[in-house]
Amino acid sequence: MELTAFDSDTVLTDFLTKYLDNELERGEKGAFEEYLEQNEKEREFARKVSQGKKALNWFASQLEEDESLNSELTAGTAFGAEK
Amino acid sequence: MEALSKTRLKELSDEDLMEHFQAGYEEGFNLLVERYTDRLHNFLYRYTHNHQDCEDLVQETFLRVYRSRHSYERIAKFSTWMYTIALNLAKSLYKKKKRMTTVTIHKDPSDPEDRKMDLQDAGILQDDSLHEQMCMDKLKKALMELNENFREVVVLRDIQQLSYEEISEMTGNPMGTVKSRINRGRAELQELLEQYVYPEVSSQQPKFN
Repeated sequence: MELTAFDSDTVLTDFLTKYLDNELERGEKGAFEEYLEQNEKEREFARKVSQGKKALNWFASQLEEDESLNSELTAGTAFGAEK
Repeated sequence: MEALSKTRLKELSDEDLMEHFQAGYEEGFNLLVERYTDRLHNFLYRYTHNHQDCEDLVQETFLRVYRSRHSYERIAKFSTWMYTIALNLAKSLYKKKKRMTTVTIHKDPSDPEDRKMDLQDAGILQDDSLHEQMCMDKLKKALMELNENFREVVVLRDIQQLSYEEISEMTGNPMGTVKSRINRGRAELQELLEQYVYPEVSSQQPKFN
């Protein structure tokens, strides 16, 4: 995967993390979205992070709903070692 | 695998010790107990605020590690696997007691992201159990293809739903590294999914939140 400004700038990483956790103030959110609008590589990276997060949240909800599936999928791994 | 001297054992990584234990040598387990008793106690105290509960949970965790030794696979760091066992035990204990002292290991109902994903959100998941199962399989596959450093943190954050502070403590990495790896892990996972689930999405307009 191509390197972006997020790989070298911890402030930007913090912004992205807070953006996805809905922890930015309105003004900060607007400024961050403007930054993304102007930086294609970073915008594409942020899109993937956002979609990946949603996919993982969905995955987690499915695991919670189906305990047997949970056991099957997570047997022997760090995220399902013991219940 | 053969018996090793105590000096040699002490030089082994946690994962090597676990494999030594899996091969039938209890010295490996004893050394892991020695390495982690205090750290596990401190870690659990953050949830329990009760030293007696911590001691019980530490004992129970090591008992589970002992019993479940053959279910451990090297795809996970030993410490992450063990801390996960400990956390699940702590959750169970406090569910029984119905007196959680912190909310950090529970879902936050005020968090708008902490919800079932809208199946239409990503344009990938249809209201069809077969497709859902296929997506589960693909997601699992993609997760297992991630670099271990990335997989570990996205699992702890997005599946175990731990806080960044907890993940930092569990993995021994600074907060900035944890956040950066979580984002990178999510992005790489998404890239893998786009490669074999819905390649057309990569050409769509970006969509945030």
